[in-house]
Amino acid sequence: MKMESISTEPMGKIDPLLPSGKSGPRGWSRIRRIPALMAGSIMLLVLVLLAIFIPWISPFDPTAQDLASFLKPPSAEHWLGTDQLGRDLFTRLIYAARTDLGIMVLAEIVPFCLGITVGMIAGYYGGWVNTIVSLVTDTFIAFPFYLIVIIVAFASGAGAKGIYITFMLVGWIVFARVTRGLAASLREQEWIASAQTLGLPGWRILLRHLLPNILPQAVVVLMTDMVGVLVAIVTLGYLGIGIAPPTPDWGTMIADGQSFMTTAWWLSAVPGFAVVYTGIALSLLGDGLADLWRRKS
Amino acid sequence: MSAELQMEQVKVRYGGFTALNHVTLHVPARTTLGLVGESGSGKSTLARAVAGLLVPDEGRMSLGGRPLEKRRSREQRKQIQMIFQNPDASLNPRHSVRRILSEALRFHNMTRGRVQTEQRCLELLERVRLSADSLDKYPHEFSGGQRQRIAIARALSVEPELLIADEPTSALDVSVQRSVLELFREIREELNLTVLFISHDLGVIHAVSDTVAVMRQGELLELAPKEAFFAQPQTNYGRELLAAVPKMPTASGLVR
Amino acid sequence: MNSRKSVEWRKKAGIRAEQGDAAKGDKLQSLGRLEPLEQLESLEPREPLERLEQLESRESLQSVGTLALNVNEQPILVVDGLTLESSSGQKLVEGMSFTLRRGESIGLVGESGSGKSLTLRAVLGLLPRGVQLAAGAVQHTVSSAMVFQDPRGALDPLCPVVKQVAEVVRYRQKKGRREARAEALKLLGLLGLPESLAREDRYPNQLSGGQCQRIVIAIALACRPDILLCDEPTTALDVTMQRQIIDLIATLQQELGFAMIFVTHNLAIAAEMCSRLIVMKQGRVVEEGLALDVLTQPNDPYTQMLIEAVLPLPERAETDAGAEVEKEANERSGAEGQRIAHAEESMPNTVKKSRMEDLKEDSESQAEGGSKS
Repeated sequence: MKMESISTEPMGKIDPLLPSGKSGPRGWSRIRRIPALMAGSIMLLVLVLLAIFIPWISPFDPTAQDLASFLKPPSAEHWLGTDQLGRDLFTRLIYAARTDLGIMVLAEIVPFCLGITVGMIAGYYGGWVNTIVSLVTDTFIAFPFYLIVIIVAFASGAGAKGIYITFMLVGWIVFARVTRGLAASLREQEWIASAQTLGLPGWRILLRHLLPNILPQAVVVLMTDMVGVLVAIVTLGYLGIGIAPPTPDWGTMIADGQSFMTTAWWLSAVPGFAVVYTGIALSLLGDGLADLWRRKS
Repeated sequence: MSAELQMEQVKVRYGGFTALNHVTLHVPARTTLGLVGESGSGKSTLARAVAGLLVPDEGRMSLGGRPLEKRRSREQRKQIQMIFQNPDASLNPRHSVRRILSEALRFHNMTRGRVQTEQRCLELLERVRLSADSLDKYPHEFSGGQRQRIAIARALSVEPELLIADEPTSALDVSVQRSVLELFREIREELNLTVLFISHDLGVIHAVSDTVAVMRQGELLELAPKEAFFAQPQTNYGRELLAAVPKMPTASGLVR
Repeated sequence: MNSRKSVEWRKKAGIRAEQGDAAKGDKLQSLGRLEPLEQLESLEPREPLERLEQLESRESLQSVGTLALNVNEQPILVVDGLTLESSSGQKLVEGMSFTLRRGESIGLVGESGSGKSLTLRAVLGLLPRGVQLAAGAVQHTVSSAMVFQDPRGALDPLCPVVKQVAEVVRYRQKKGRREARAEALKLLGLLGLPESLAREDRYPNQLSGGQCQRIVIAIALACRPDILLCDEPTTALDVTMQRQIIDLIATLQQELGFAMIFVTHNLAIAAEMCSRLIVMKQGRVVEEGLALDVLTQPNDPYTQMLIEAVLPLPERAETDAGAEVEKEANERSGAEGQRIAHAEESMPNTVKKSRMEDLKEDSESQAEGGSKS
């Protein structure tokens, strides 16, 4: 739900790395010229709007069982049919989007902020902070990510907790790496040097000068990283160590539908498609933002 | 209010490479020192060392008799301002001119309140010959010369005593270069500034300097009053530099 | 087909030059020393350099600057009503027309945004993305090659420089690998690059800006161009390096006889390099004519402004001082010869040695040619 506000953040700003001529088309008209950005935003917007308004759209309760009408094929009443416990598949699908997208965003907020802070400080100041940060990031990168996720999920019990903890532990690394490189290169820019000669303290330069220039790229990375988080959430749900039933979640939905592959294949296919759909939307948005950021001129 | 710059045996090393080799230099108050040399001669390193952007390995520097240490007070930082070669890179592209000019003013509490800050910003813009409506524009909306003027205005905002200009006109068009040089001369006289002016263009150096210093491979080869240098350089390298300048055909129709 | 044509022409020119045929007393001679490129190959690697050394650069430059035009000869390049616009329809170059003859050098002068570099790219046939030909045409029957403003950007950073030159030789001159390398080294020697390049692989970042520019020029020459397009080749360089490159290009033009379009914002350099100047402003030609006329009697206020923008240096007694500089510079470069960076400092001085007779002849024939035309 936060997504839209994040994705609009870097638009209409000027990029430092590009030669800036006369001000080009701004805001909306510029976004319209990038198909990937348009497609990604619209796809995601549709999903987010559905997730927000699902209580008004659908008359069904995602957890209420109706054993009288189970495994129904799609119909006018049940748009995507019902599952083995007679729950409306469409309703569950969208409620699952609420769960999964919510966890995805929440799980990324802390690593995102932490990673940027650590990376910026390491890149700007260099020295021992930098050494430690690069040591830690390199070490973590050597670990297989899913191994950590599964260990933590088992240790902390089922539910979203394991995901939050895992991402708190390792999620910041990718942001720290990207930001560190950016900060180190921006540090050599002359406007940073002139801010230094003006006698401004380091924290102010970091916040007011570095951060706004780093944020767009970090957001692009965030978009790609979110796809990974989503897949991780779904995978854990599928393995039965993620979101606990009856809370709707795409991963558990795929797993539950597996037994009925021959009679009601859509039970697994539809949530699977939802994962792919969201993944594509986020990737397109990330690509589009990167493109927007690259071709500002 | 102006101050002299003194450098004694200043040495800067990057790894194994000596960028500045025991340079001793004295710039009297209210004069302009023109620093010439090819790229890699150490002129920018010298500028950055004086500006406090890098710390020399050896030697002493002082401004107006007060030593410039590794850790400088805010006051000392304000005294020395630097203008860079590329105005595109020296202005934060995401900040409006108002923000660029007022940031240091507000931070150092040099003005009280919004109205006074605005007043001061307008004064600064006027000094560098930019119109008042520039305040709410962004750097990319200006031409190269105008951007350099904004950079100059920002440097002046903290009322410096020493102004370091590192090739301030070499990224500009020739027609713009002239007016920016004119501006330099004007502010130097009106504000009693001491100026360290770096350029590889001898024409520019001739136009702005009182004293000329020639650097090569991190060493100061020659230091002479402008007239003396241009009439008769003391070193061979100085002569070589002068001889290398392309010259316009004279009215008599003779090339050179 | 074009290349065959030009080879034929070169042969003809070569014969004429060897025979020194006065009967052909058309302005070919006045075009300076038109020597066929083939002759280069037959020379020992050091020999051309010696010949370069023998030319007194100052005077030779002058002769380039005042090359007489051959009115009768067919132009090798015709730019007719060239109009370029951006994808949004904005005119970037408008109604640009000029012709170039063999051995001639034209200077395109103007500030940024004047369209001078775009014109050059149109001649090369490489318009940047988003720029299109709206009207007019560029016709040429010969090959051209370009020297760029930023030499480092024009070289592959991960490929040894000799290999980069050799590659061009190999594909443009259709030679074997080994042969191409030998040819490349010969070219590099001609351009005053240190011989150590033959022994060790050097990458662009190990060379100075001036040396990189020499490599770029070598690559351009390896294409055997009839027109050399120079896009501010000295802007990114220091004064001393600039002087060396200017002298080098001028001497090479004398030796190899290519025509040249020289783009610069510096009128003083244009004055040294070119016989004709075209002053451009915002995509339009504001003034055009013989370099000396344009510079001494400018008609357009913009030209006037450009001339005034060249900051003057006071006149200075240039007596023994100059000789001393040379002597000292030679000594110094001898002492520090190991370092690559210094190899090129000796360059201008080696070029500067005089070959007075030739020069006299040259300047005389030019004087004649000039008065005729």
